[in-house]
Amino acid sequence: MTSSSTLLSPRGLLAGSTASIAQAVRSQQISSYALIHSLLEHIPSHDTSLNCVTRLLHTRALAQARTIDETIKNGRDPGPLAGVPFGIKELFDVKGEITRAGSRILANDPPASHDAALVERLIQAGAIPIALTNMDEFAYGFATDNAHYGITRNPHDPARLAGGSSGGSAAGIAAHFFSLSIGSDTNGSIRVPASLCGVWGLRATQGTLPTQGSVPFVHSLDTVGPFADSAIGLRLCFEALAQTTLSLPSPTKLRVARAGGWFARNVSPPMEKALSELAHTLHADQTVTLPHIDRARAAAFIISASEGAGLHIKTLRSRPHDYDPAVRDRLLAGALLPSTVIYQAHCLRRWFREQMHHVFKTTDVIIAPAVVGPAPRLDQPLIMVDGQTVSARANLGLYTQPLTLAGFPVLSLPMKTDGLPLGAQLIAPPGREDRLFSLAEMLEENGHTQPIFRHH
Amino acid sequence: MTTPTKNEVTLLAHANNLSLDPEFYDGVCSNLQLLRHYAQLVEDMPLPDRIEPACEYTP
Repeated sequence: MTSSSTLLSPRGLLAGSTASIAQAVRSQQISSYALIHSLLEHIPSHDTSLNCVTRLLHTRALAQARTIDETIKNGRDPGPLAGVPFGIKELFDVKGEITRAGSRILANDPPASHDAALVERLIQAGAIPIALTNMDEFAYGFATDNAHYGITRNPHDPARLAGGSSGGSAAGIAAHFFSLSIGSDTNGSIRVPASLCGVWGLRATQGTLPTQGSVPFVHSLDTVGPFADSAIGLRLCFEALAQTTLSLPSPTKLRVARAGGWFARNVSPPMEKALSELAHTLHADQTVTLPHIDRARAAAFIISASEGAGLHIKTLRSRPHDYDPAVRDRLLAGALLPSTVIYQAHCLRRWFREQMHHVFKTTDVIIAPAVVGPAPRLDQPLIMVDGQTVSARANLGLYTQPLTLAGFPVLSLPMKTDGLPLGAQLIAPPGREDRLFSLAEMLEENGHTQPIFRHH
Repeated sequence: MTTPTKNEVTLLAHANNLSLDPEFYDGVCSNLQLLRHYAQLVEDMPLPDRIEPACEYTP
């Protein structure tokens, strides 16, 4: 018999994963209301030192929890994510809330009149929106270090970065505030914080999940998608968001290769150890070298800076002082680029995508590190790249940003580790998220990934 | 790759109808230098003359 004590920790936070919560709520072993009430009561004191959450959705969450409980009492289907609490990066519209996107620029806008498409779809599946989460201003950063609303700290070690830009959504799961969350990934903003916080994340095939009702950053590269506390939770969330049901191929039939070249350089010793063990488990004996990764990353940088600047140009002219200075200076620099290099970056994108398709003729899934190593310290935000000590904030996307250019689906999973979290990227061709979930669920089931609830 | 100077950044900003406060210059210059490094990598890539830009995403 599941009881509230197995789903809630002594601290009043979550102690059970997405699937176990949905099962317990559906079978009336715990009421959705009781679970959500406990979280709303206990999150504030635990979040004081972490700053994952920018706003709790008290009224909305409790009302939705009551609706779920009533639905079940009346014998109707509450949905596959019945009662599962989820966090929302504050760039998504939530009816009645101001969509700030981590900015002061939008802080006095009128409240949203509708939910964003992804928010609406999770609620339809029975999930409970419980919190808005912190982010880098306008999603332009890898640190979740926001001049207006503060820095989000890593729940595994509050002296370290959570990563970004969807840092609050990832850290909130690691802190056991909610089971699922949604964020955006333009250059790695789901995969980087998922890796540093030890949670699961998915950048789906570009265009698969609707961006409707979210504040854009770089139209050419933007995606929105899920974080979760488990592989199964991530699949259930993706299925709800994509309004589909996946049929998973047998993991033993998938050919897995390891990315070499760029993705084998600058890897820290703990990352190398974890990745080698993952490659061994997946029989990834073959190494593939993706071509001109440095230029692919450069093209993603150029497209991001120029399109971001294009989007913000009027406000950069009229209200430059209202921006987070770090974001403003990046956007202003992007506004000074010549148009010719932007055109060439888009040509390179075409070429790179064709090369990626070519590589996948001989393999089904490629594994690569998500970041160079564990989360950098807040007081020493530096990493080593090619023998140089460089800014972590600018380089945490070293391995995620080039893949963005192709738009292929990438799942970030928490690898088995003795120390701080380390994420791996599983990469598949467009539309083949089924392959990623097949391997992810096999790895989770066989104990080859790091469980979120290791302390309970 | 040239290091952007304040004069150059001022001219480029004026050309795009932007006026920069003095406190913005250091940050903008360092970001522009970084972007120029990436621009060089993009421009040095040998690509076919007739390749089409991928302005819209197709899988």
